[in-house]
Amino acid sequence: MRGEPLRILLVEDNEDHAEAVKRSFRKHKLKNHIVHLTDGESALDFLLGRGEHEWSKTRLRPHLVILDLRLPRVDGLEVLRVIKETDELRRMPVIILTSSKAETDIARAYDYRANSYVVKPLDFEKFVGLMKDLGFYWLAWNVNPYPET
Amino acid sequence: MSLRSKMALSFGILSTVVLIAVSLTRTFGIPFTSDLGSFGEARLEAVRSLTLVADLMKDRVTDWLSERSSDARAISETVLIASLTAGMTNQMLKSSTDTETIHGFVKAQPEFQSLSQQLKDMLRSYKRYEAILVAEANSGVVIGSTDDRQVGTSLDKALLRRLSDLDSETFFVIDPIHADQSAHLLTVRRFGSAGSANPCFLVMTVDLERVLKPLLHVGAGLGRSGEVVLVDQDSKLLLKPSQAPAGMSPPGFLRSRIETKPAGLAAAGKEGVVAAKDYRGEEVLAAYRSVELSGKQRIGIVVKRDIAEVFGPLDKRVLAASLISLLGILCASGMGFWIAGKIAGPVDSLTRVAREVAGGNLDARVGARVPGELGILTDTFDAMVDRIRRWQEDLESQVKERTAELTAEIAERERVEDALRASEERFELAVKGANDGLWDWFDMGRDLAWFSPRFTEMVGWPDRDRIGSLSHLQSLVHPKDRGKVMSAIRGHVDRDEPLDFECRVRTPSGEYRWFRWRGEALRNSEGVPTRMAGSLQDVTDRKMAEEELERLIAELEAKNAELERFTYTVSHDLSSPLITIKTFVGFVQEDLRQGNPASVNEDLDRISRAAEKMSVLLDQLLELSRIGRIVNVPTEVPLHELAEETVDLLAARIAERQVVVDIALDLPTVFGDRARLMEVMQNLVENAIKFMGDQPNPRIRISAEMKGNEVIVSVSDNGMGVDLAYQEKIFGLFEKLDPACQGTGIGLALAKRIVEVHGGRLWVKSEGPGQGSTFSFSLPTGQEAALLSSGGDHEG
Repeated sequence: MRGEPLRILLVEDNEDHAEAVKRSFRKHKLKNHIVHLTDGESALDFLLGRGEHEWSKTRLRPHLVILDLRLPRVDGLEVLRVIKETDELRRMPVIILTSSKAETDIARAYDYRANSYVVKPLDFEKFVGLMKDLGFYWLAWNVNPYPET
Repeated sequence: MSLRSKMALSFGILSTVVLIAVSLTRTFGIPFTSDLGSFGEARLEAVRSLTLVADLMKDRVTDWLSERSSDARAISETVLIASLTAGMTNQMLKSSTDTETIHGFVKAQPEFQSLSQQLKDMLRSYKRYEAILVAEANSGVVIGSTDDRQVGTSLDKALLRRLSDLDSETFFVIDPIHADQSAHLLTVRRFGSAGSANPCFLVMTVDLERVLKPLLHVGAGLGRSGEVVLVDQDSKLLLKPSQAPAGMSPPGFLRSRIETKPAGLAAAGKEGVVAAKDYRGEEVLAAYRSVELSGKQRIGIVVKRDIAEVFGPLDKRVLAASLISLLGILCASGMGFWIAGKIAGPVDSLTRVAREVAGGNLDARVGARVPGELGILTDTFDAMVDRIRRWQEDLESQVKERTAELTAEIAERERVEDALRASEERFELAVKGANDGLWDWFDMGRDLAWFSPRFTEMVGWPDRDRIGSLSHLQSLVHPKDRGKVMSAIRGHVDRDEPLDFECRVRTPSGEYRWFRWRGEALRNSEGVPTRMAGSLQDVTDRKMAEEELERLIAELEAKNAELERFTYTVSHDLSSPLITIKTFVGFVQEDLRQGNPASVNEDLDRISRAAEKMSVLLDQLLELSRIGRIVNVPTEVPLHELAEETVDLLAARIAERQVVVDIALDLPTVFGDRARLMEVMQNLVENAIKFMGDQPNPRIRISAEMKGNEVIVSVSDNGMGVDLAYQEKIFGLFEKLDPACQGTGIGLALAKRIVEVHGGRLWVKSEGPGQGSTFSFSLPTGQEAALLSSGGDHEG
């Protein structure tokens, strides 16, 4: 367990779902810091630092990106593609969290080198449990590709 | 003549010529060189000795003459003779001149006897003289002589005249006319003219034959035939020659003139050497000289030698050489004959055998073993004849076989020809009856092809184009099919793939028709096609059906994909609110269980909104699914009405946002489902209000224009506009540009679908964010709209 909170960029256009995610983390007392953006374009703006160029103390690099696929303006797959094609971002773990079980979506997400593909469970317990596991895994076990300075 | 004699003759002639050439060179010298040969040298030697002898003889004669001159002077100057003579002449002058008288007078004088006695004494001293006399010069009376009979006589008148003419003191007179047939030379000296005495002549006679001849003996130096001949100035002989001149009798020849060339030249006072005939008529080599006497008299000396003798030894040598040559020739001929025999023998037998073989006797052989090249030749010849024989035997058996085969072949050919004729008839029938056209590219090199009547009919050519070129045909192939045609032909030509392809060909009417080509190439031994033929089938109808089918399949696939996409989208968008509901119900239950009601109301609101959204979604999805099937009967729809009704319907929201809506006056009437078109118009105006942004003076304008067969209806606003990147995306199902926007993302997809079902298109034009946007849709008019009405129950 690291002392630092898990920094997450959550890209989710559905306000309710975002709230559910945040509340699940809170419930399991996972130390986290979530930046929530509702469309692809603003997510890319944030990641590519349009306006601000360097990750810094005031603008910390997320440990994890949780990305929905169906997003306004720029959809999730496009955001994923840009992340993985940008030298600065490519090692950043990206988890697709979507309600789509479409095979094409799953295949394309992995083609674009998604680190994980998770379907939103319809069941409350499962939803909360998933978020807990996800949080623990990425906070406790996963080795950060970008060493903290 | 046989080969053997030819060769022998050749050898003989060759050796003869060589030997003759050698001996000729030896004998006559080499032309244009200093080598004179034996003859030349012998002649030169003879000439040299003749010249020497001739010069010697001339000197002797000259010396001898001067001796005679001295004798005459000595005698005449003898005191006694001089005085006696002078006394005599003085007495004579006193006497008469009558000859008889003088004769008697002289005889009577003692002085005369004394003079004669004195002369006789002299003669005893000078024995070489025949006679010596003294005569008075004027009268010619002999006043003293060694011959008594002469005393008192007169000298010959002719002689006296000649003596008187001579002016020198001592002179010589040749007196050939002499009784004893011997030429005499008279040495005459005039003397006694001193004082008053009459001059006298002392005449001394010399017999040349007796005195001079011994002097002129040449001995053995000039050989057997060497001789010196003396002649006078008239070519008359002065000495007896060794033989009588031809055609002359011995007593007369001294008076005879000889007509030989050397004598003539000597008599004429010339000196030199000449080869000519001599007085005997023999060929001689002669040197000639002359000694001048007084009074045009001359002694010619000819020293001559027979040519026969000069060249005599040579002739012997030549004879010997000729004999040896002859012997050599004989030997050479013999050897030649023998060698010729050695060579010619096998050749002769070879020739004989060759002639026999040529005559048809293939059993003839040379046989005999001969060493060397000839042996190889004969062996080879025999081997060749063997081979010829074997060939002939082979050939004969082959001819027999072939004849048998030919007989069979002719029978087979007749059978094949019958079959061919039948086949041709069948082909004719088939060509006439076939539905397929036939083509035959029978001369690929010159690009000539034959086309059957059905072929020309199918491609719509006149009948006269039955013979044509394939490249012309290629130019009629549809440009899009040319590559395919080329690769099909190449595939067949290069890799022997079956030739079977389809392409469009332009007919003279300008229309393209589909044809199926099948064919096969005939190839030469190297596999290169020389001819290609096949059939042509008009497959236009099938092709059209196929195209239609393909179009339908593509359409179906597109629809299928759309449906799939729709299904996924629906499942996603329907599951979203469901997740919200389920999750937050969970939170609420938990909160209630833990007695923590703080966020319960808020969560219930979320649940309620999600359920609401789900309900709207389901409604609109139902709506969308209905659009494919136009349920309402299409009617005439005045667009003006449509626009005004929309504005009325949305009056509250227009007022709320204070939008100015401007409806064009010239809106036309269209044909379609009124309720649906109403939905489109409503959706577009609603969107325009919704995305007006911060525009302080919002305006919306509804207008229309005719373009070709279409009416284009536009709803323009001066609101937020649409980013170029999203102008396509906004028409997708459940697509929203603004997450905060309240809407399902179905509206524009719905409108688009309705317009498309009416046979039109829906699109947006915007200069970009903040620049406003214009949503337009087209609707067909006239014919197309009428078609739409007839296909009203068409399932989409």
